[in-house]
Amino acid sequence: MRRRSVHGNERPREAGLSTIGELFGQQLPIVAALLVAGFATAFWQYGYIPGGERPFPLAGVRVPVWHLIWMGVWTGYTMALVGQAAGIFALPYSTSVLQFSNAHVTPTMLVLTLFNPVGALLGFRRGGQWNLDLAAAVCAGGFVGGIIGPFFRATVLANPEAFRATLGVALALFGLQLCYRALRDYRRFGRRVGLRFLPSAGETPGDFNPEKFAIHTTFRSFTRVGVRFGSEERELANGWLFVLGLGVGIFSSALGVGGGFLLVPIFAIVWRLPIYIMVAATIPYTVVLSLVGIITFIFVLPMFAIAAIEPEWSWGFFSAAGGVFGSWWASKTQLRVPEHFLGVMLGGVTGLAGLLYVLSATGMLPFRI
Amino acid sequence: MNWIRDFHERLIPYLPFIILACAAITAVWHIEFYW
Repeated sequence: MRRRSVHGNERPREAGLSTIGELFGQQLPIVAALLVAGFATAFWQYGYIPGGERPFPLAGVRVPVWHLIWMGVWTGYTMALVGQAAGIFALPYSTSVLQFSNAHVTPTMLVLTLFNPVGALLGFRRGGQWNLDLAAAVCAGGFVGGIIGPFFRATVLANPEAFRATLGVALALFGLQLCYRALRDYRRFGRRVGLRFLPSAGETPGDFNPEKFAIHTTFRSFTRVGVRFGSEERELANGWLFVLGLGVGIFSSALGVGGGFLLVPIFAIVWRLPIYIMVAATIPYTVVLSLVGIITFIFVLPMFAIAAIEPEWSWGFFSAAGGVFGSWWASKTQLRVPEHFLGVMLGGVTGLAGLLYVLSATGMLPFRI
Repeated sequence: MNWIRDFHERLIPYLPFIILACAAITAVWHIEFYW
């Protein structure tokens, strides 16, 4: 049997064809539907298509439609590479470069982050970076935490600025540590890519398809789950996964922030899961948290007599169309992006998020996160 | 089509940096044109 080079770029022709089929049969229809939704809502709401000539009324700025799609592509791509949704890049980019800095920007980013991880979810699933046993406990925690989180808003987290500032400092330190570890591992092990976890690249026991990336469940019980990827095995406690998902879910929905930027560094630091593997848990988590975010936005906030702020729907749909494609593209290429590049990117994104929270808490940003 | 696929395969390890560079160029263009 022909063995695939771990560090090489060879790929079976069938895989390439299957990727093209996936693009045309699965992804482009979703992208087209979101684009149609963007044009339709714009025309229905305003009677014209906003863009580079005429401003988006709620956002109050002129931006070409292609620029919003491109913003979705690049933010979706870079964030899905490190197992997250696009919000942490798209929000500061929209508020600073595109100057969409009023209250409507937050729900608009919610529209983007609701749809954007779907491309990554389908892509990673098709590529084998997928294991529901690994994702189940953390997603269940995220669902529960996201629902009950708003009830902490008026009590425990009545003064959220102090929490935000503390979180910001912690994230900045996480970011530095992740960058340091990525560079240290590069010096120690050299250039490594995710293809080393292919069964054909190692001494994997069992009769798995050697050319197909897979995260196998070795055992599962109510309290623990074991997974195997390549020649490595990990055992994780479902209780801790649930608590982590719950904590991040409560925190993110109580403060109205995304959860992926917090969950991914914890997975990397506490469980030392490679980024190629943790996406199997973090991408489903971002989808669950986005769904809960929308439910909270529509149903829970009105219970607290907080008026729901209308998103700039067309802006959200245009950027989500790009975001779906970008995150899918990331899922198809991530295994061949070197691990130290991903580590430095993850550290950089985490550090950036921390910096934004510190600046936001000190009132030095023109917008709130 | 094959040469496009091969070119893409070779480009993959550097794509994150290429994409971020393109995003920076677009941002500068937008600031110049719309601010």
